Amino acid sequence: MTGERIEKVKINDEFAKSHFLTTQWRETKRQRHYKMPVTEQGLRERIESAIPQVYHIIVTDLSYGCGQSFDIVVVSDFFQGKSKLMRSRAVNKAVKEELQEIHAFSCKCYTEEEWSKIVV
Amino acid sequence: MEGFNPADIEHASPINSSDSHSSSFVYALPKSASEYVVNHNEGRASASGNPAAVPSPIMTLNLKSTHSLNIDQHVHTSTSPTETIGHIHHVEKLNQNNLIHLDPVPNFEDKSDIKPWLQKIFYPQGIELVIERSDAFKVVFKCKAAKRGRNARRKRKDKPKGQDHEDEKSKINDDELEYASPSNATVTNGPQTSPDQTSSIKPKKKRCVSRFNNCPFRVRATYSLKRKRWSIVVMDNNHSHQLKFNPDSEEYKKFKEKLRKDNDVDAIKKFDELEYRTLANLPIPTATIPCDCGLTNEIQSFNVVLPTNSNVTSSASSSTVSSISLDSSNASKRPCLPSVNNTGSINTNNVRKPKSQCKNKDTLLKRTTMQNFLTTKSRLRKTGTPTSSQHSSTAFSGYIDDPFNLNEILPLPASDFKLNTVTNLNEIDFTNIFTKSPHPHSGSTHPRQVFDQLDDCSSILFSPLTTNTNNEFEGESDDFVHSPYLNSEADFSQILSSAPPVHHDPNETHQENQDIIDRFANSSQEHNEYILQYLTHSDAANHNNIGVPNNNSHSLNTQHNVSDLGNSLLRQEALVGSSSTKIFDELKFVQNGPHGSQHPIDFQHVDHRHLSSNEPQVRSHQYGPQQQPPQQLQYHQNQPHDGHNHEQHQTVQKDMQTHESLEIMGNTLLEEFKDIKMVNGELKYVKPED
Repeated sequence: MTGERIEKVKINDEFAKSHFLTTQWRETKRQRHYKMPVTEQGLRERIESAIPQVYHIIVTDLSYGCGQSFDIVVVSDFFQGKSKLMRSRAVNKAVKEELQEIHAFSCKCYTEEEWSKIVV
Repeated sequence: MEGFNPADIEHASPINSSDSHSSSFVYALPKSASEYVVNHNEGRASASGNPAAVPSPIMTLNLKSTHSLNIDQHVHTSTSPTETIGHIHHVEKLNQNNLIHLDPVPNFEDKSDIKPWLQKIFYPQGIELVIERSDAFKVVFKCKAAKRGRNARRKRKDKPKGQDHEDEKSKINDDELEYASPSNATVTNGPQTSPDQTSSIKPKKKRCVSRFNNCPFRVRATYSLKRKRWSIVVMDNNHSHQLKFNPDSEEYKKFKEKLRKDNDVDAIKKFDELEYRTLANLPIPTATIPCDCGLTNEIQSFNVVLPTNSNVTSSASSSTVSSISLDSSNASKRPCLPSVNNTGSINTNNVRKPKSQCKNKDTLLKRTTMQNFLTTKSRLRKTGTPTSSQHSSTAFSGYIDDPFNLNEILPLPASDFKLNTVTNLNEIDFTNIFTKSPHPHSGSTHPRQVFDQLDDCSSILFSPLTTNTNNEFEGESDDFVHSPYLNSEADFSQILSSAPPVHHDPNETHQENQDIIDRFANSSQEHNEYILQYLTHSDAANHNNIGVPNNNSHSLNTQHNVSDLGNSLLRQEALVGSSSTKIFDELKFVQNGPHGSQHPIDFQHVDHRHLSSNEPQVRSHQYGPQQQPPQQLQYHQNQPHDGHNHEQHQTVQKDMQTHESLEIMGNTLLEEFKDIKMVNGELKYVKPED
């Protein structure tokens, strides 16, 4: 009798463990799947924190809130004397994590002088 | 963008700082608007003086700005956001939200500071303000004409391409051009004019009138001497054109320079962003704040919240439905609008006749006329079995007053629906049957009058017999024999009404008949029931009469029944059309008997030997005891060659035996009506085999 009880308890424990593991796995999967979308504000903060001397950042969500397509304009004197590729690499490095979830990304980097020629 | 939180309005605290000023918008109360006008019409004095902050019960929205202007603090005592919403709703209902007070307004030291402050608010909305008129105490701003009229556009097109560049060089402010007086025209004549100078010579520009010039949008800034402060009111928040931010305008460049001078970095950055988005064709996020009530939307521009001019896009859009609704709404608003809004140009802009609907109307008219044409054509053809093209599904369903909607009765595919037997029902015109006054039951009315009344109906005959027999019966149309060729229920109603009265009350009879007609007109199902009822009634009555032929009352009954039977047959003719032509062929056959009396069913013939009354009788009563159908006997007697040719007589008798009497024909007709069956997707009359 005692042996049977012990076996039953063992089975229950195994079941509970397996159940716990499965639920944990499901939760992690859910978290992975339902991650918060990238927002304009989040991207702006990232770039501001990564790139120095930022004068102006314009982030436009072209996917209208879906967080899948962004157009970014970064105006900073940090880009002075740097090629377009280097500027873009600097910005891409700043938003490396977000880029994994973004479908389309466009980045334009200007210095303040260049920017003043663009705008009125 | 920061959202609009109504709770912030409630707990808004006044800010006392020189670097920031608070601003807000107000929906004017019904009373406050008039009070405002009264207050601002007070005495006029010099605009100088220290302004005093006057608290007003209006909600406040805080904003940070580097604009170095003094601030008027206004503590607003709005109780709750729900009340505000209710207030807005109430005001919108009353159409008294025409005046939108911007409050508090910064204490402008100079009159020229008003325009940049307003431009900062209205430029992001795509509104370019220009001064319409101004004096020491009042400045009226209006929406600048974004485009010129047709004439200006034509001139531009006519100009050579090389001249455009020169024009750009010598670009003059549109506003100045618009309001340039003739004296300002720099026309220099003389031999010393160089080519460069000739390029600067411009013809005198006329002020063109277009819908862009006639924009009703007006902002008024007035200075109150009593309060020593400026107040700004949006008098009309509607626009007659689409709003679009134009960064290339000279006005905007001036405004930007002013911002740079003032070192308003936030504003510069915001306008830079706006410019970039416009140039790159990127979506411009609107700071629209939808209200919970769903009726209003506010725009937050530099923390100045304004109600959306939702009419802008809708009025400028080409959708006809929205324009109609707008027109109606504007029409309702028109009396409430101030005199500034009631310009003819605005009304002409808003009042648009929807073209699409006009087209629909035209097409509908065309359709209806085409249908009428087709139907009249088909009527004129007078064919008993019309072609399928004449009775297409559309034409068939086009009759509104068709009580016999066979599409409902027989759910068949319209394409395969060929009604060989029943299509004539479409030809029945019920439009005027009930408009005719019921004929009095005097019995003295000549049936000719009835037919005269029914000329319209009887002229259109669908039975194939009509074409052959019309002329034949023209001279003897006094009799009801013509009635089989009538095709509408109106005819029967008239016949019933003009029919000789029977022994019972004629009013009752007429009432019954009228009820029957009404029932017939009501629905097809009732109509079918009516046929059943009518035929069974007549049949039963006839059977009774056969049993006791000499009884006066029975004779009358018989008479009545026979006449009724005739009428019922007429009804069947009208209803079933060509399905009952067989019976009428028999009638015709009986009728055309060459024995003198060509009308065996003579309703007007009075037999004084058997009937004391002067009611019209049927000749069949003379042969009552023989218990034979009157038509049979009559035919038998009326046959002129019976005595001469016995064989012919026998064949005729055989033929007559094959055909039953008219009473029985009613029953057979009923059976025939049931025997309309579907054969290969077509309705066909299947004659029951005897």
